[in-house]
Amino acid sequence: MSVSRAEALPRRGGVVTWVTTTDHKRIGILYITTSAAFLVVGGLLALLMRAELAAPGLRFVDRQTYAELFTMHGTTMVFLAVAPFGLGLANYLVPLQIGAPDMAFPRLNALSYWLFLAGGLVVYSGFASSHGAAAAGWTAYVPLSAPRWSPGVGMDLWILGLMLTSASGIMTATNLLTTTLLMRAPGMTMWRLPIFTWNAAVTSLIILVAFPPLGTAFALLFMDRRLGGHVFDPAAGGSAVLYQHLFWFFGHPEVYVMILPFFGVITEIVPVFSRKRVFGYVGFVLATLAIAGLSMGVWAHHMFTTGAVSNPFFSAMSFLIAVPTGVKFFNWIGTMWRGRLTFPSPMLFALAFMGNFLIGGVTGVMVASPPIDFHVHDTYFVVAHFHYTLMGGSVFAIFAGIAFWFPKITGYRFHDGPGRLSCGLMFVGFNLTFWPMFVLGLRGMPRRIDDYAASTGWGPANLLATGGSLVLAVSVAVFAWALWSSFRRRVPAGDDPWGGYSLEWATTSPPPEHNFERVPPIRSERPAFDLRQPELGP
Amino acid sequence: MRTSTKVFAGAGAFGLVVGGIYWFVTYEDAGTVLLLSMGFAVLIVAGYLLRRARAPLPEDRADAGPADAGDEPVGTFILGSAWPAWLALASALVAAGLLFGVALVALGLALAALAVIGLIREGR
Repeated sequence: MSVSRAEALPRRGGVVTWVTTTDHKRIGILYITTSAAFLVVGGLLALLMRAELAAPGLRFVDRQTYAELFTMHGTTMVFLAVAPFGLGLANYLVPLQIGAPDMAFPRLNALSYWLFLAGGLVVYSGFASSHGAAAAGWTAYVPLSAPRWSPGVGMDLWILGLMLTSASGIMTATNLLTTTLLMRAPGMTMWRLPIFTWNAAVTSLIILVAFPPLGTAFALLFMDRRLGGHVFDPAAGGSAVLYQHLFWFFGHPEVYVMILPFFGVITEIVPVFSRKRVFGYVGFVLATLAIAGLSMGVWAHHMFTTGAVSNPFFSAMSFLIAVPTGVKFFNWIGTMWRGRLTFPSPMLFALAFMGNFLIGGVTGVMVASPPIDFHVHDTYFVVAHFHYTLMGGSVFAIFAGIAFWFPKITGYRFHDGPGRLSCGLMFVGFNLTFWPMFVLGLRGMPRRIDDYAASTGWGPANLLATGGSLVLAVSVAVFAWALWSSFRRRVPAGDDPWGGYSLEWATTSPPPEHNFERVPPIRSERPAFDLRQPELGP
Repeated sequence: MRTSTKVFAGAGAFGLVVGGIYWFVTYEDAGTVLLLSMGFAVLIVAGYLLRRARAPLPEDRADAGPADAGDEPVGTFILGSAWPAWLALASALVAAGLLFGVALVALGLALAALAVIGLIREGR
């Protein structure tokens, strides 16, 4: 295998190098740091919301600002933080894990990142407009997002910004899928791909079929708002429900875009710290494929209460998707069973992920049942459910992934003590914040309200949730301290500090420009392990 | 048939089958069109992979080693380019121009054209 590189620009240090880079590792780092910054900003918006709800009658922010806060919080977490973090990690890891020198289309890769950043900034620029940022919720349902109820330019900036980030996502997915299918090293058959790479490829496939309808929905919405269209206007023969179909045909698969890469992260971490190969590799991959397929057929369970969809069809499909998800838990437990377990930060975050995500998954099965959904729709029960999947799941996996791959990316050991402290605090803070929301939802507290009467009895649970959110904030600060301290201590990590299994651990830390001086022979799904202990290999 | 082809063929067939079932269960247009379109789109990729699979590749052979790739070039990987960031900036200007004035759209399109020309020249 030979690699040729064109010297398009003279090599320069500093900002110029980062702005002009087409190296997948640097672009991955840009994605990861940018989405982490958006994660922090989205978290700060959530803290403001929790302050407002801590007790009845408080008035930290006015009603309009509160609507902007929950809209931008949801938008940030879904479009600008969690999903891009997964794609950023895939950007960094996939070429390394398959033995490729770079992504298939390096300049398209760079364009994807810059479009993502531009889109995010356009969305946030709404805060500087006269009517403020978008305030129609992260779903932007019509007629809430129509000019009558959202007259400001902030809503338009939201639409256009997210169209840019959607285009970026499609480009990244094309790149990842092409790279995985066509640039694997000799011997790296599809059934030897690391689980993370499998999950990144399947996520890319979901993006390619789910994001175009979103772009269509946003383009039509923009036409309705600015160009005199009436596609979603029932008064002029349009259909508001059509918007919901288009949005959720993207929206529910997007949940899996936000979780599948992190299933991959967890499945890389658990075998390494169990000193065993992953249990049920083929079953795990087939379960991922089943989730991807079924995820495309469950969108209208978000629309049960409209009365305009087939509840039995979508309920059955939503129940079905729990089966392959359960298979993954079986895989993780089977991997740990009788393993030689150790518990550094990545493994602790992975275990916390499993506990939290299990609760999110089980409550997902509950709301897949229309009679229950009719009862809890648009209440805090649903808020708790999706935070258990996306924060308790994906965000915990983000921290697990940072701690796990920090030595590979930087060349320094991760400071484990504060990392473990952060995990403990985060687990406690997370459950204190979101468990009370299940109770609030069952007691009828609607989501997206900025105040409530003392007579409702919702005060104590809300106060507990606000206290928990402060613990969560402290845990994130402790993790930031762990990172800062790791950089400051500069303890060399070596190439493979954890005894990793996949190919990235067979190169230097950080990896060189071409990723590998020489790609080792690949004879199983654990090439780094085979290289280290050839007597135990296949 | 290679694994990658099977994945895409399976996903395409899934879209067509579920789209068909969905139509007969619901008679709802939007979802049916979305599911069937998904099926057809993915089958196009499956067709491409099926056609490409006629030549066996080292990455699909379980016994292949580094030497099997020979001197086959993986590709040309450019070290850096300013044009992607330039094109993204131009796209953001066009988006802003749709709200704040045609002049911005024109400026954005001009910058985008420059970026595209730059990318093409760089690619040669």
